Amino acid sequence: MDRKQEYDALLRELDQAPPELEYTVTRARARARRGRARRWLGIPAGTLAGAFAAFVLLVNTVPTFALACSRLPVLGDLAAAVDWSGSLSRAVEHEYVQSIGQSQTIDGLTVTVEYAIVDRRRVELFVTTQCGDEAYPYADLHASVEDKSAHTAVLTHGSYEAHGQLRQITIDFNAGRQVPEELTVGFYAQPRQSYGDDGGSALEDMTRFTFALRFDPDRIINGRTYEVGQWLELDGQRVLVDRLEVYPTHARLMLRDDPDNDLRLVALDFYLEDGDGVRYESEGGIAGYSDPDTGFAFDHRVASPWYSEGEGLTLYVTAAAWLDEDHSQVTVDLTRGAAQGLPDGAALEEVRRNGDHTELVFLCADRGMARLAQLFSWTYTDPEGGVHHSTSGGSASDDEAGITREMVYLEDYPYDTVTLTLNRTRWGALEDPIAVEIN
Amino acid sequence: MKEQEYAQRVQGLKHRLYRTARLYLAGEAAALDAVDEAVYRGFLHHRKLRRPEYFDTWLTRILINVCNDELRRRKREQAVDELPETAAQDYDALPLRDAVERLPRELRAVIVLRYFSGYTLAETAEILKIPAGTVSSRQRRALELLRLELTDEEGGT
Repeated sequence: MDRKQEYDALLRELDQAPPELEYTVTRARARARRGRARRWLGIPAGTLAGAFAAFVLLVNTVPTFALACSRLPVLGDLAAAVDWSGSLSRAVEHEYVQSIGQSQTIDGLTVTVEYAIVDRRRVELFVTTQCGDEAYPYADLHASVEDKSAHTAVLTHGSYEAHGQLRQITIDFNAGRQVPEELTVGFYAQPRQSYGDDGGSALEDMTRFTFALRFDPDRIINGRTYEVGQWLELDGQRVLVDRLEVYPTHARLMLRDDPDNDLRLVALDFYLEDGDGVRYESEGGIAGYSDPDTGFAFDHRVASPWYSEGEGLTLYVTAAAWLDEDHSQVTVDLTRGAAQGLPDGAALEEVRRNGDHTELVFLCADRGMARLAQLFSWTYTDPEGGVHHSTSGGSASDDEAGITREMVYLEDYPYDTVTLTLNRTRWGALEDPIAVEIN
Repeated sequence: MKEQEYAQRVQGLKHRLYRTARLYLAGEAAALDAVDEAVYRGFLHHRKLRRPEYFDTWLTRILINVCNDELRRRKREQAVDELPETAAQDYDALPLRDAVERLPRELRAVIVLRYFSGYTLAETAEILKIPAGTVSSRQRRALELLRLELTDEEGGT
């Protein structure tokens, strides 16, 4: 074989890609989501689960609002940083922004809190870094609040950025807690040579910056609450729409459970629509809270209609997902590729075993519910009763077909059976959305 | 660029990314890891990509950076197994795949991008952030070492 023939043969050989390549985007999505969730659960307080369990969704893009940045030259960079969020974009458009401009420098690394968008229940901070050493053009940054109350949570959106890029930090206040006029925020930062270079430094190994932030009380909107008090019949269960709280940065739909329900509500798909037909849908990020004792998802977040000019606001509930705790275990025979206990609409498609690494692929006809709640928890049990925690997983949705393919990865797992725990056992879109007039 | 568009563009590019990493890193598992890492890094930053026409070269550049990180890591852990440019007869004695994998890194990057991943000379220059003339000279040198006679048209055009 001459060199040219070798070349042609090598080209053909390189066309044979491993099947795992197919899910590279799924893994990237899952990893990004995992990063956010880990930070959310790990940084605010170890006691977070003591009162509330938060659920966080991927930040979804929303149609970019057409802000003429030339009209707001100072806020142009901020407008670009929040273009994923209709709520924050509208806040910036209405110049509902506080300029902070506080900086600290430690060991050549500077952290600057540039802007804040603050209402009575949430603080959105926008922070940049700078570094004197050009070999380190990026920085890793995480935020925390001094108050380690379980009712305050912090979400760092995209911890790796280039210096000068605005990064967003959401500080969310719950259970009646309100944003104070002064707030101490800690930032853990570390210079990086390249983005994605997640060497995995522990927070305690990073440089800590502490900022005592003071907000302009005249620019902290209290929000408004619409008392609703209407019971809904959903899939044979009853849920009370208690109230809608609207703030410039987000809106909260607050629900109450009926103790007579057989199933627990774990996710709700809904949107708000104003009189001009403008819809306010989930924006991802912090999606809401569920009660850790009952698991009932009582707090659901959606884009804010604060700046709505259309009169009359209506809530449309389109789908719900439920959990029957008595049927939440699924046992998979890894050698036979068979699963017992799967709910209607879900099927085990494939078991891929490679040494001690096993990948389970499930098909789920869920019409987009995966966006609201994954089918399986990432905690699983071996036949000897040992509890394991998966460090990765993912899903890919075919929206046209209404099917989601969900992957569960079992690492270093030598057993032939595994018991998985379902997050939802029943779900579905309503034939007709339920409409509730808010005002 | 929105997330859905990012996912679609990656779907169209992933095999090319894999081919690039496969030869550049000399290993299937390492190549898959590198593609995963590059796609993840791209995912973190795709919203800032304002010019979609540069998507392929942008993500491939990220991949090359990932691969270089990996090669640097390996270098710290084990002896370098690249052959010097002067050892032409040694390249001649190797199967083509091994010869490509043992080219000095800057020559290997050019040859992989041009003749195995199908990038044009200009795209290769854009990915590697080097002048087109440098791509041209490295390409010529690498082909000589490999004893491989390929035309410009057999690379990406």
